[in-house]
Amino acid sequence: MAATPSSGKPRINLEAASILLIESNQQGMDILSQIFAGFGARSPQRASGADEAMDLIRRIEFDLILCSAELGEIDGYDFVANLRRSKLEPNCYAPVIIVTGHTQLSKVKKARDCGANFVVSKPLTPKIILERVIFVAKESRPFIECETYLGPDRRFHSVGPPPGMEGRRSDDLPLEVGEAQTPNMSQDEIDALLQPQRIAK
Amino acid sequence: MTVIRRMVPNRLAALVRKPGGKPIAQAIADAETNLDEIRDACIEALDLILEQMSEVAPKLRDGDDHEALHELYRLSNEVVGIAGVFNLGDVGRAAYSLCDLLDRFDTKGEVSAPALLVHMDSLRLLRLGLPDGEVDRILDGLQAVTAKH
Repeated sequence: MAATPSSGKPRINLEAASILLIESNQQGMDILSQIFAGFGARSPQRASGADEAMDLIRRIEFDLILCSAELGEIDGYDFVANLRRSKLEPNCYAPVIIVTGHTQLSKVKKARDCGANFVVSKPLTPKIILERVIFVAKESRPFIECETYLGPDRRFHSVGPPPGMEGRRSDDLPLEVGEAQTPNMSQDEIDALLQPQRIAK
Repeated sequence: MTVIRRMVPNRLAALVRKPGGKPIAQAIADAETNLDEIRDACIEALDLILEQMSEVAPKLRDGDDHEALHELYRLSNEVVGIAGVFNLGDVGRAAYSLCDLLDRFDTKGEVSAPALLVHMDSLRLLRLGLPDGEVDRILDGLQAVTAKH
């Protein structure tokens, strides 16, 4: 877990980061606020509901959003899905970490497909939250936009389709290796590739 | 289906690497110290939530009351979020099991009064504090009860 390892001890600097905390439960908000104050974040914005949060999102650019899955009138998953589709740049692309207690079975798919960067289970610990923040700060997953999903690529590793299964994506390779489309390279051509030649000046 | 892949600049990445800030170990320690400051207030709130749950649970036992079920689920989920942060992980795990049970009741459309009662009683006992062996026995029992529904 290293954010800035140059000085020996890894460091993190959240002083200039614009952070939004969304939590409808007072104790939950206190817990999040205390954790981020400990991390050195300066006055994160707070919202106790989806409307209040969206109002802030329209006015302020955020570098990180933490959102509870339980927001009352609308759940955190719907809120994130709406944010991603809102076209409110740059906030619609802001990294979002959802924090949740128990997840209802009926909402597991929603949690996966809402477009959040991470879903973290409560009870929250400073160590886990900081690990996730650092991970989010390091990640370079592209944003995927299609009819059914808008958010960071849900594949953390590109390992291809499961063995024996046809891939669903246009860039997945076919199961069968087809006939060669061009003549085989000669041995000389292969040798030339493996032994770079000095170029005359 | 059209799929657009877009690389978005990660502004957070640049910010966290700026000079200054604090060592990661220090950041975690400071956050833990900050949580200690709100410990008493949060435990007080937790006890209040447990009291509210005791008032709502009988409504559910008496019949098919969706509103009471959702209210009890919400309260129990709040306990999940608070208890474990302040070394009351056993209470949090029992509350999680109750959430699981209530979710199953909601899905199936039927309520088991004994399963609900044993969860409520267990929450009260665990909050009072029990020896480790007893705690494990209770939590294993709750898990088994929930798994049956």
